[in-house]
Amino acid sequence: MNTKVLWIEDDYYNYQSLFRPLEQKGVIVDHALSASEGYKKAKKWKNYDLIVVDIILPLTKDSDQIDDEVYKWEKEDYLGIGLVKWLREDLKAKCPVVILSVIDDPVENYNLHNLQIEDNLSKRGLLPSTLADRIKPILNMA
Amino acid sequence: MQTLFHTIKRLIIFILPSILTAGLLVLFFILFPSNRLAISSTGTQQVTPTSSITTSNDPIQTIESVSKQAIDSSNRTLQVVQWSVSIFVLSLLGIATNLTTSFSSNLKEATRRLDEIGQKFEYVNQELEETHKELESIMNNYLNLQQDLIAIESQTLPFDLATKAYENGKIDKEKYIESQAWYSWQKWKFGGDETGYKELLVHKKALNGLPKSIIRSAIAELIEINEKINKAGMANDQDFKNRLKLLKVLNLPEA
Repeated sequence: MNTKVLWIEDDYYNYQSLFRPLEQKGVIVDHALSASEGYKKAKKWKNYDLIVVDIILPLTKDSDQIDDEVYKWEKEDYLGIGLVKWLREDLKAKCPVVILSVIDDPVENYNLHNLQIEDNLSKRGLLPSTLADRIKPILNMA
Repeated sequence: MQTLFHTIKRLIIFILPSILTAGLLVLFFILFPSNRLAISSTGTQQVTPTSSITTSNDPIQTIESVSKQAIDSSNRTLQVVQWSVSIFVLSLLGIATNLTTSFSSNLKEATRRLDEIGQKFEYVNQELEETHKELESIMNNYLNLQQDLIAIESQTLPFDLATKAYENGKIDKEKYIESQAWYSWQKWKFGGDETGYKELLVHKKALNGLPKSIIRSAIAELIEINEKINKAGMANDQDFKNRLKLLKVLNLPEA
């Protein structure tokens, strides 16, 4: 069975080349374009081998009904922070979680140490090969 | 429609000679009525000897007469069989001839069509080759244009082009990050996406300021909003909010 990654990223279509090397290795990348869509997809975390989360996310990208849970995340500086906390604290998701954002070191800046974040990558100046090198060990890929 | 026409044409080619052959055979029967009589008399001849027997008193003569009539009848029957066989063989020959003619005609038609298709294929191939050359030339021009754009020092690249250029090592990390910041600015300014504004502040902090292209664009935007605000009734709440955000982006005081 192929390795499946959920990438919650509003600029997915602009940054999708970042995952190209992993896709070439057979990794399937599913995406969510907003916090609301991410919430819906991440609820089925058992379907994924890894969840990659952007920190600066919009509430929604369409007119879909937004769950009350997602509104709760607005108390955080960024919706992505709320999403990651919900994933680990409320949903008790066991799959690895990686943060991929323009923010430098959100784990340190927003005190996310106790949430078992596997890796923390900055999108600024990130190369696809660098991302692949960091993600492969998490997915147990050679 | 054309296929239907061809089918009808083929049927006519095949059936018409058969009808003609059958017609000729009928004509043949009409021209030789003795044969036709031979066929029709075979049934009635069997009654005649019985009548002879009853009218003649000489048994030998009767036997002779009956035998003669029987031989005649057999001869006629044989003749009828011979004609039937001949007609059957002639019909077979006719059908065989028609089949051969039809097959040969179809083969000729098929060959002609194959030639036609071959010619068309060659034409399409030539056209395709020419289009391919034109496309290649356009692509080369586009690539050259991109190269020129990348080479301009002060130019902020469109994000998709910058991503490709950065991956291929054509631009450095600094120029790529600048392009990322420009993309965030566009997201907010032209797309009205608040995440663009938040990203812009992160870029500003990380870059210790924003690229000149963004500062210039932000100043122009601020001047436009200020003009709107200064004209009574022109500005709305969103304009005021945007003004505050622009001031924050540009590190300018609110007053």
